[in-house]
Amino acid sequence: MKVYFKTILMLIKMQLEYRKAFIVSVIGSFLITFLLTISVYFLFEEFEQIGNWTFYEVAFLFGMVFLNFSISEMFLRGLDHFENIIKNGEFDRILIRPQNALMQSTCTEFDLSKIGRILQCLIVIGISLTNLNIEWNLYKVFVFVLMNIGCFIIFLGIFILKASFCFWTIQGLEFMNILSEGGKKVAQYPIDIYAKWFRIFFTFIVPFGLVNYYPVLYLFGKADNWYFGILPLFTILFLIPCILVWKIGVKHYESTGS
Amino acid sequence: MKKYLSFFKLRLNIALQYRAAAIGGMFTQFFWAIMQILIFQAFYKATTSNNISLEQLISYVWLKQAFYSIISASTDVEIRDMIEKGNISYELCKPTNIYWMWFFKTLANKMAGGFLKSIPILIIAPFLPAGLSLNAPAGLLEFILFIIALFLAIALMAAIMNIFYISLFYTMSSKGTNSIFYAIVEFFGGTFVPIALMPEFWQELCYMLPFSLAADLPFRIYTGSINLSTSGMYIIMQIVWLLLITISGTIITNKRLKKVVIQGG
Repeated sequence: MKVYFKTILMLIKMQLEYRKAFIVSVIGSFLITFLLTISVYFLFEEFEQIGNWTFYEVAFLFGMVFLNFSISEMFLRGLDHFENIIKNGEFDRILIRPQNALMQSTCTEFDLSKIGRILQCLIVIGISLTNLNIEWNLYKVFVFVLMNIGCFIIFLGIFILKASFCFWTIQGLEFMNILSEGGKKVAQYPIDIYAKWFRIFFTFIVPFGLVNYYPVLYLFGKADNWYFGILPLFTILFLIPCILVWKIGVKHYESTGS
Repeated sequence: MKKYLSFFKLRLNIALQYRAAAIGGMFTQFFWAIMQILIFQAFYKATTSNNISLEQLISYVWLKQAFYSIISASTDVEIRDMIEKGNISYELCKPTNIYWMWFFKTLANKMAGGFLKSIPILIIAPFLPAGLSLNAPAGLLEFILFIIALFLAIALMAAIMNIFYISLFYTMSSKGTNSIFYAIVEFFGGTFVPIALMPEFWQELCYMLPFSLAADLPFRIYTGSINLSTSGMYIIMQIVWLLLITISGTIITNKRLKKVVIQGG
């Protein structure tokens, strides 16, 4: 863990060296999320609601999902670009070091510019929370934190899975974007608006429903079942097979590059 | 003989890998389109939009997805690298105008990739179950105008991309400016939210700018959600913008090339 933080700190310092480029990147990443938020707002201007969900409720989900996606992109950039590590043979070097290979691959890159997105997401969450009348209590705060952790765990699993496939394909697969980018887009709306087969996939296979739909029902007072709040814990069940695939992948690894 | 055979095997493997990527890409396209359609269906359950009906919107989503690589603002790494790494010096040695070379390069890339990627959707999407399928164009005249507008749109998009490449002469790095450029083109081009669903003021604003004329207009003409006389006017605007951007682009490029800085070593 100590090694991890030290590497991250170094990567951060590296990016801050190029001050101007860094500021422009932050503005860029802020702008994209900002315009996406405006787009959601436009849709609700036109239609007022989706299913029985209002703008602020959806904005809350949007903020939460994008927040955790941005955090994942920031910390897990190395896994996202894992094919580069495989292609140039960097992974050989990783394997001979006495540290966890997954951890090392993760800290090959750190994208600090995503801070722009994170800021924007926090603003969106803040605005929607002030406009939603949630009766807060200690348990609900706990649920809120748990939702965010669960959401991050799903993205973590997806990124690990995406990287693991590179052991077999060497190339990055555009197909895997369905899970990361697609999941992000799917999860910004409560899953009860989708068709049934779609809902089942995103509850039992890739469990976005467990972090955005059920806990939010409880949080917004749309359902009284307290146990909806702890469903995000079950995202661990998604993470375990992803790590297994990674482990199998490492065994399967054949060196490439020079 | 053995080495030729292994060479053959190698080539075949490479080709197959590309095919796997192509099939994967196709899947992704269908997934995106269907997901967007599901979201819009949910929105339309409560109220409908005055500007565009659900059937029209579904066709719009399919077409946009089919021609996405034409209208998207993803910039060419090769051209970016030229400026960032200094290979631009080789380009400058060639007895050609660099602006037009880049313009036609982008145009060719967009056409080849774009039309190829549109084929699976154009073949399969019309036969999907009702409520998900791509409908026929609103009429013959609309279809002809759609084709004209689409070709103008590709040229216009290539011209817009060229602005970005020229800007690299000033900023020297595409990091950051790349995502700002992307955000602006996608938003005003109606990729984040279709222009027909924006509030009145924003719709008018968007149709004054070249982005929507390049990334939104052809598909709206196809669905018939804007009337023919307005479409005609917008097509003229496409031509005007195309001339405006290319002419100013060449002037700026020629001026800037006099004091170009070569990076790298």
